[in-house]
Amino acid sequence: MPAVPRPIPPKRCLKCFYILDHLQSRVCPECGTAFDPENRQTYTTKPPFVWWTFWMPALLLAGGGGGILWTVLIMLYGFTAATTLTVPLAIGAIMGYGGKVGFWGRLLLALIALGFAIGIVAGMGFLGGLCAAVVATCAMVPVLIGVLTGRALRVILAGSNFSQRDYLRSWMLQALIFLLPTAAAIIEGRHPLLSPISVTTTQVINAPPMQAWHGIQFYEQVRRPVPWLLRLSPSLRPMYTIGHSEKVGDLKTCVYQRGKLAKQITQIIPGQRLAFRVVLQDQIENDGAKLLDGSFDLSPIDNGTRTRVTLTTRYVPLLTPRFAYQWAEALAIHTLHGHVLAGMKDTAEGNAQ
Amino acid sequence: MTVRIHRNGRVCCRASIDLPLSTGAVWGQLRDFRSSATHDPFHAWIVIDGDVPRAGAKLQIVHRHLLWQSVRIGRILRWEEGVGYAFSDLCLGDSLRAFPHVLSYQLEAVSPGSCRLMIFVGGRWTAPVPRWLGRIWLWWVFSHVVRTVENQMLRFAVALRRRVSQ
Repeated sequence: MPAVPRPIPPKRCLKCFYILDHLQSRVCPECGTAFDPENRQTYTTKPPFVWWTFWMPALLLAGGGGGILWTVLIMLYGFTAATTLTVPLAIGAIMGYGGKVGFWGRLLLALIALGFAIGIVAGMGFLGGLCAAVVATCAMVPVLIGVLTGRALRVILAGSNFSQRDYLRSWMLQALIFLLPTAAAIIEGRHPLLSPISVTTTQVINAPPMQAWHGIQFYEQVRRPVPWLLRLSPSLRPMYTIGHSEKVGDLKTCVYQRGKLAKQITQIIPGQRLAFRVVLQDQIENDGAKLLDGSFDLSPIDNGTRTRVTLTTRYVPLLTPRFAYQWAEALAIHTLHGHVLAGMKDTAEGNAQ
Repeated sequence: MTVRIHRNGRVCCRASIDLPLSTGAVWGQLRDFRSSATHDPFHAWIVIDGDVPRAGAKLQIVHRHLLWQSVRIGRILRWEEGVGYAFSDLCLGDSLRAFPHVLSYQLEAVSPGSCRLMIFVGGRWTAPVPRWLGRIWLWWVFSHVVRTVENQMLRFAVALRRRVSQ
């Protein structure tokens, strides 16, 4: 069996790509351009670049392979999880396939492209700042896998008879990749099967329960600087409130920089419990969660000289994969609770003094 | 495109492709013998005796059939610069066994900017299978060769025009 030959690309005319190997003359028979087989500047070893032929394998890998994977994942985990995992994979595959830079450069380019794509999606209002950070974090692994896959395809094709193999080190048309995440964002969907989640935060206030009770306030009423985490989302920047929350049935509406949130009081036991339900959630993280209800529960400790306040929020999560979003949601809600309880503590302990 | 297996086993496959390229431009691509002689889906690579394609040069043609490979032998029977070439593809041990055949490319000018490429495969069908089945098989392989050559040339024509227009 003859040894597998390394593919030696034939010499071609710089002007018309005529194959110049084994010619007696030093002039291209087709166009008359002179060449010297000893001088690499006078000929090329690359065939003409055909961009669709060159890109087809990567697009099939990213679009075809990614599409199949996306369909499977959507059935298993829902739209958001499928998109969060598959789109970075597709971006990574295209970047891993193309690009003049080395592997790490391609990985960096893929991450930049991913950041750009997430920025576009966030700019379109489909993602808040925190969600964008979560997506960017959990998308790094699929991006890396995608880059490795694209790189493997490139290596395989470079050693094959693929007509464009000589261009596998050349400049790429990388703008194409932005079509995928944009399309995915436009058709953003929901996972219908998630059950409500309850998040609870407890704080001890150095004041008797009734004084703590008078310190109860909602997020929009707290007179403290808003934590940086909550500033990431424009929909969590309150502007003003209208309505009351003194008796059962009262409605309190807070208008935020984008959208508004209305809460109706459902239970009042002075000094013990205040419960409410959310009756309107308009552009307040609607893509991330459906807010249901919440409560302030107060219990005396240390013979009634101090109060333990438990703040609870219940919501239906809408973002998947849960392993990526659940910690971010918990962090955001605990931060919000902490902000509210700190405001309550300020007021109650100020009253006590 | 026609594919025939006669009663006596003679195989005759013919196809002609009209191309929007001059004869010289098409020959300029076709004369890359190692590449153009491996358009057959079973031809993995070709070793040319003396490394220069010319009439009479001995060939070792490595065939790949899914998981295994075999070597067949042949010769370049005709090499006419600007016109075409033909080569034989024979079984290593017995040149009358296992579909001995000849593949030929012939160019003909139609106008200054277009030409006709004629592809011919002639040989002897030796496999003990019904002729109709052999014909289907040959149709598939031969059409693959014809489409590959046609696609390569059309792709080249488009790339060349784009380059000229730039």
